[in-house]
Parts: sequence; C-alpha cells; structure tokens
Amino acid sequence: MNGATAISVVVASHGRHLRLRWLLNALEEQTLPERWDVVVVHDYDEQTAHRVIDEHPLARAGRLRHIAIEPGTGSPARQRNIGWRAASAELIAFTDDDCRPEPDWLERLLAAGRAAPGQPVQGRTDPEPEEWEILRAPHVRTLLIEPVGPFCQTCNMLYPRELLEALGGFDERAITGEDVDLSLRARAAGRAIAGAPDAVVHHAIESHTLPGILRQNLKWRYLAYLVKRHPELRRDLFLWVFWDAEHARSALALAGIVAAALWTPWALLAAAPYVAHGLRRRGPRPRGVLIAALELPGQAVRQFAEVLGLAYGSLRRGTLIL
Amino acid sequence: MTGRVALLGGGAPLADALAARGLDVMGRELRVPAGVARVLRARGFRPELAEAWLARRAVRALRPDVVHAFSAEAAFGALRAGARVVFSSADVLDRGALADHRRRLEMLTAAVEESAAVVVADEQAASAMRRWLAVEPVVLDPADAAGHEALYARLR
Repeated sequence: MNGATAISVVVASHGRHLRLRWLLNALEEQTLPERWDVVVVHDYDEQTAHRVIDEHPLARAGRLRHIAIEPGTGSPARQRNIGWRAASAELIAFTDDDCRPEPDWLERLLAAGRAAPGQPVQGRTDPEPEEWEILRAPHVRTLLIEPVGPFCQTCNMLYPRELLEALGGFDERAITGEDVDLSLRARAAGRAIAGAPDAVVHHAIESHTLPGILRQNLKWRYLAYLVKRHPELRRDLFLWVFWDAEHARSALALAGIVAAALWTPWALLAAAPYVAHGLRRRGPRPRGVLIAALELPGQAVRQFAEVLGLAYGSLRRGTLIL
Repeated sequence: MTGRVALLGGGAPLADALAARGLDVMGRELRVPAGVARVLRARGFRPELAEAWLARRAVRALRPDVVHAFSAEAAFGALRAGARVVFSSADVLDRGALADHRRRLEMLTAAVEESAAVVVADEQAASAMRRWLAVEPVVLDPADAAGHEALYARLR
C-alpha cells in the first residue's frame, strides 16, 4: 500500500448517521490493495460525529477524515464540493450515506477508471437485498441504475479530479439534480460516461408515510431548473415533457378530475388509465389488486402532488416538465 | 434502592432471581396476537412492532421506576410512555437485521440512543453493537441478578 492515494471516496451525509456508519463498515471491507481514503462531509453534532466517525476503525487507521459544516448550511452539491476539494487522490469516487458498496466496489471502479482515462465512470446501483421486505410499504424510495444511465446519480460515480476542477464541481444553485447537471456538463465537454456494471452498490430501501414522502418530493419542483439548463434532458423524458409514464397518467387523471368538477362527469374517464395501471402495481392476483386498490388514494395524492410541484417549478422557470 | 422495575417482553428467569433478592419486580409478556402478527408481516413490518404499543400500555398501567425492555420495539414503546429504560438485546446484530423491515431502524435507533443503558449478554454481542450501532453497551450475564440490580440502582 505504498505510493500516492489511488482513489478517494467522498460522502455527503445528513440525517442518516447510522446508515453512514454502515457505509463506513462496508468501506472497511474493501478489497482494493492500493492506497485509498474517505472524506465525509456532514452536519452532525460533535458527540454524534465522535461516536460514529472518529471511533470507526477506518478513522483510527488514518483512512477516514471528516469535515463538519454548520447544521442547516449543507446541500448535496456544497458538501460534495467540499469533500472532493479536500480529497487527496486524482480519482474521486462518490457514494451516498444510504448505500452499501460490495467489497470489490473500489477495485472495480478504479479498474474501470483506469481503462477509460479522463472519463467519468458510473457503477451499478440496486435496491439493498437485505431490505426487500420494505418494498411492501406503499411509499418507498430506492434506486435501480444500470450503467450507463441518463442521470449519473452520485450514489455510484467516479470522476477524475481534473475534470471536476475543469467543470467547477457541482452547481451549488441546484437544489436537486446537481449530479445529473454535472454529468451533462461532462458529456458536453466531450467526456463520455463509461460504465462499470460490476462495481456495485446497494441502495437503501426507505419507507415513508404519505406526509413524509410529500415533504421529500417537494424538491421535485427544482427539476425545471435542470431541464431549462439542459434541454437535451428532454430526450430521456416521457413524450419530452413527463418525468415518466406514471406522471403522464397522473397529469391526465388530474386534468380529468378538474374537468369533471367544472364541466361533465364523463371527463373522469381520463383517470381510467391511471386507475387501471395503479390496480396492477402489486401484481395480477386478487390479493395484490385488493392491496393496490387500498393504496390507490394515497398513491394518487403523492403523484398528483409531484405533478403539481413540477408544474409550479415549470411556471417559475418558464419551461414545461411534469 | 431500585424502586419498581418492570421487565417487558422477556427476562422471566431474571425477574424470578431479582424477586428472590427482594426487588419489587413486575414481569409482563408482550404477546402479539397471531392475526395482528400476520397482518404486520404481510405489510412489511416485524410482528414485534405491536410490542411498542403493548409496552406503552404496560408502562402506563404499571407505572414502574425503571423499565427493562427485551426488544427494540418494547423499548421504543416504553420510551414514548416516558419511562426510564434499560434495553437488552438478545441477538448478535448483523447488517441483515438492522433495517430489514418497515420502522425497524427507527425502533432500533431510539432503543439504543434514548435508553439509559443498553445491555448485551457477551463480548461478541457488544462488539456487534459497537460496529453497527456505534454504542457502548454494558455486558451483563442475563442470569446475573446482582449486576442488574446494581444497574437499575444506578439509573434511578
């Protein structure tokens, strides 16, 4: 393990101190024989940081540094920028505090990075197998990403430091989608994204209450900023306007409900595709259909709120994304 | 003086041993009805989730000075009822048991971070607790009534 640090892992953490600890445990198990280190940028209090980070074996081995920022001043973009600028290696791996990399993750990512010099590399992300039971919840959040995907989320990305410097790092004005923005600017600079499907991280599966998921999805309204800045993103949208097909069905249903209230009940037929699809989300068996039917009102509230949030953002930014 | 101690969701032999030492001990099993357990399991929860509600009810009924909870869910319920809690974890934790069901992580986090003391049976369990939950537990043999009595007295 002599020589310069081959790769630095940068993690932005907020509100997930135990999951951060589990990530550090997974990093401790990395098989990469070369020198590597970790930089965590967080907003935890001193006592929590000491317990979770300072006391970790990686910190005691001198491989883990952490930078505390004032609570309430952080954002994923700002924290990642602080992290990569403080890191020592020429290759920077990003993952998130709700992820668990496989033991050979760094080894694979580094190999892919060396095979594609100067290019960003995206690894594979799948839902945490230890947490699949949670998928039974009505409102869950996780990620499944086959590289190379269009959005290049920083839960599993590698960037050369010189590219980060050339691009000025993450755009700290972006409330969400700062990782997508960075990858689009890298592509525009002629750096195609390389894929490393064997560099795997598992992403937490988190269930939320309806108010909780509504609060979390409020950030969707900032996506219009991203689309305005990168019109080429529309190629990956459904019909160039909708975030996905679900949002298209939701928008149609919402329009039908409004039209039914204002003009004719027949307009409710516009909600038929949404309802038909929603009833199948738990599979075709009667039990699955029953559960889906019970969950349908909550799902509708969530998806309508997402569409309305995007519509609000579209109005503010002068570009349409729903 | 330890005052009134309620053992919730386990620890029956310990309750007998503590009573033999003259402590005011109340043991309460937290039995989750089979039907409730089935529904909870089908919706992605651990059946033990119902222990949170049962523990809360038990604490309100028994009004103990110290609650010794034998599951994270029982500890959570007792904490939310305002009790001073000792949480005993019988298992050697591993990554697969930390957030494997809905609300499991929330229960576990509260149990280890809000309880007055976390107790494990041996060094192997303690090591797992340090690694995964970043807490320093008290290692106490489950049959060590004198050790538990001293722990309760310290917490009161």
